[in-house]
Amino acid sequence: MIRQIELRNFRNYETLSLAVDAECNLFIGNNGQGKTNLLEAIFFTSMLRSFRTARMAELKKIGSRGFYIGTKAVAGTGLARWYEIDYNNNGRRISIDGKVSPRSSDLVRNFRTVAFLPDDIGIVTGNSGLRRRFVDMFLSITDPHYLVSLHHYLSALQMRNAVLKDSRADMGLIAAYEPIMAKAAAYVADCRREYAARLALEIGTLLEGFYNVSSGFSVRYRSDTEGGIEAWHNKLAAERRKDRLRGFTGFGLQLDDFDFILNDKLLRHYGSTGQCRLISLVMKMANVNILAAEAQGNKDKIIVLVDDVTGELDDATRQAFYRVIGQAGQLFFTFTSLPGDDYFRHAAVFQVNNGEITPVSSSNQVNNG
Amino acid sequence: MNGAEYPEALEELIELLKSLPGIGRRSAERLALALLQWPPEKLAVFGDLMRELPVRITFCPECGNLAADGGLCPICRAPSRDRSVICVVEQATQIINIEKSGLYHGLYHVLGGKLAPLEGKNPADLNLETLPRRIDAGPVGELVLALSSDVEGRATAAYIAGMLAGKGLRITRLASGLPAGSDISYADPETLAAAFSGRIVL
Repeated sequence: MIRQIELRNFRNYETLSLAVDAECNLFIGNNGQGKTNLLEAIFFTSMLRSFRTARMAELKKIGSRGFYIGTKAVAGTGLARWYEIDYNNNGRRISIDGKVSPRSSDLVRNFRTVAFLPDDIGIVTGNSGLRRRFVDMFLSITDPHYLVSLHHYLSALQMRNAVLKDSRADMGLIAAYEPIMAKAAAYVADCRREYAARLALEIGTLLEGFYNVSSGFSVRYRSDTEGGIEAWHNKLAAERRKDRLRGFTGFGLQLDDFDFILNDKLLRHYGSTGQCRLISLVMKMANVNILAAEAQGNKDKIIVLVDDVTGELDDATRQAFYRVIGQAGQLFFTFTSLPGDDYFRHAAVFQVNNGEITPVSSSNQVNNG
Repeated sequence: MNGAEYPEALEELIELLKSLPGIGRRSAERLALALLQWPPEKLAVFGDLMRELPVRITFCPECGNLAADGGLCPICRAPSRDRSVICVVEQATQIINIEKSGLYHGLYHVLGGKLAPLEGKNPADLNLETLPRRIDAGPVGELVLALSSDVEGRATAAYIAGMLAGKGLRITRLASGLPAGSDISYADPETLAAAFSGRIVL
């Protein structure tokens, strides 16, 4: 559980020192005050990535040279540790309890974060890159070897593509990247296939819980190579000549997709906005369920961030949503005004106003104007 | 010259030192001022060594290792070395590391880097041309690829193996896994994964 958050030059926060001691935390404020930025900082601590951008330069306060995020978190043993990230032009420095750590996995394995965001619908309706990103982020926190393999594959792919730019490139040089790609791709594809099946199962169960009928929901993993290392090897060798004509690798993990199918209809083409929004929400709920099942009762590391997404939900769905995210060790919500829901009776409330956050002792002090 | 500048000769020396790896302006200044403190005879020896460096230190025409005065390197010259094995390394400095292990008695071949197409480093930029010739000329039965285990090193190894396929050579690469004499608790997941996939029967 997070106990303290310190920010310097992060988005619109010049300096922030925020003590947190509740399981459930509400951040109330008008648009553009920095509510989402705070969730982004928490997310960044646990994933070393933003949920909004891949460009680090966007995260620092405009006019500053870099940003700092410090987080004090308590594990199940009651021991508090400081996790710090310093980001500037020279790169990033991660330290745990003041000791510099070279490996991002040291930080990432201490948190299991799921963020519910207004843009989540894009995972269902948007381009395949958003779906791969969603899957990659989740599998990276649950399986460190997945991230390593994906990284190997993408580096080798980038180099193979650089070689392919020359239409007379040496076939042997193109082939040199293929053993690395085949080995990594077989592992990543296996994980993605397994996850698609697990996701379908979890989403199906959740939907059946809402509507008491068989959901008719499935996830189809689309990859153009089936089989293990050998199959990838053969495919890469078979496509080599064609790839050289094309000037790039024309198939592979970088083009994988996940089809979300409801009652035999592909959601991104035939689903209503309501259906797509619901599925995008349930998909992340499924991730919470998977993390909770893996944690085997030790929910301390699981953090759920909810950025203004509960407003449109009907009552039954909202109650189910609260039940699922209740499996997390700690929750952070943002709202533009204090919700009347009984669920938040014991929540700690904070007012966010232009890059400053102040605790509010009782709900009637919240300034909604 | 105004008061905020060093004399021109010193300034030039600082600029030269600054071009060395890992040396910034401040360090270059410190080094230059330290040189200024040296007695003239020491500086003269230093200067002579600098001047003669490109003549006295050359690359072995056989393997690419560091050598002296345009001749073969001591390893290629030594009659005691096993000429049936060639160990391929990226840099000449790595030969010294391997020699310190005392386990290897064959010859070497220095590539001068590894394939890095994103930085424009292609096979033509590596010392690869003489390798097939060396293999054809001698009694070489095994090629050991002692290259980095990162993506570039692995691709370079695969490229060389492909290039020399059909020569009837035994081509091996070094094992990767746990560092010798280390506690398994401190191994990172990637190293452990390599160690697991390379485990051997007792």
